[in-house]
Amino acid sequence: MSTATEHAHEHRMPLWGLFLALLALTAAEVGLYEIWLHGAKAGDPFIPKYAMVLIILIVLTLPKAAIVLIYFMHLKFEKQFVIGLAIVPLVFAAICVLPTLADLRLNKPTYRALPAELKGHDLNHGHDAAASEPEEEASVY
Amino acid sequence: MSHATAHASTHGPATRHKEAPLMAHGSILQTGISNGKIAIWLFLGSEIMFFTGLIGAYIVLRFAQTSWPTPTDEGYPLNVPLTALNTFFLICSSVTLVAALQAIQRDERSKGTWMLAATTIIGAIFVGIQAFEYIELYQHGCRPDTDLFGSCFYAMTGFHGFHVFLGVVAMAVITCMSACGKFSSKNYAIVENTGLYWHFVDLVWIVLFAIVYLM
Repeated sequence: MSTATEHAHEHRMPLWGLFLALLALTAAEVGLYEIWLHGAKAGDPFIPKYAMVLIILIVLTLPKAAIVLIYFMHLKFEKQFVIGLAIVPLVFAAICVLPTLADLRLNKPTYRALPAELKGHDLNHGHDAAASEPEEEASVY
Repeated sequence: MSHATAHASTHGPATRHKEAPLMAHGSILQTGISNGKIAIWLFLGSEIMFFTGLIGAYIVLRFAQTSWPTPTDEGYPLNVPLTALNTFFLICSSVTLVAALQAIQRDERSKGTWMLAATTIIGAIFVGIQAFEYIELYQHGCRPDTDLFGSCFYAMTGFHGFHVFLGVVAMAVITCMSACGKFSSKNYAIVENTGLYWHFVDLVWIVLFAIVYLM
């Protein structure tokens, strides 16, 4: 039980500053996304590549997650045992996921939209899947 | 506390129960941390692994596919501005919850109750907007059985939404408890532990928003 024994006094934190920081980072994410999207659709040559946008988005997301974890979830004020309870699963999660990303290449074409001439083509069976399926199913996106 | 704990460890069970520091609800502290807090953090640890499994599967599946909807595609199904608004609401709910806990710790029970009620309402708005988004996606033909993107999207956001829904129910319960005067500066563990769960759900959404909607 969290009582005076465990928390002698309320932990002071810059609540509104943290709130504004979270809002600013979210706005930066969405702003970056919208700028990139409109630029990419217009074919603007000065728009950064998708891979670079991904990296920037990750860089913007990490501080947001850290603010919630460190301040809102009180890890900054907790004993080392609790910090360990929070960090160990994150480390194990990273160990589990990172090896599966070994073949990841940000410049691989596989995660981009399929070229128009290949859309509807069943790559596994080598025939035109769109021809054998209803039109509305093949053109969801 | 550490002295009491060390002293307790050198004696038998009867002495230990006598010497170890007791919390308000009677649990005996060997670590200086309440049993409830350890339990909620262990639970959150399992939740971290759960959502990491989902996110990891999403990343592997997405980058293994030759075709995946991207924001530049015509008819891209996801509504990013609406979801950004939802993210704003969830961040606001975390802030009101912190304000509620701080108010209860200062024995400002009325303010604490109102802040808890605000957290509940904002959380319910989040769930409502997500339900609206699902209806829109269904109407546009994006369903869990449409393709792999649909499966991944509904699995990740659906499990998260279910967590938020459970959190809203929990928040409604502790709001009622607060209104009945159950919490004070010496008894706020339920608010704090439920808050840890709520903040964790917020944390997961911050990651999901970036990975699913923006990337």
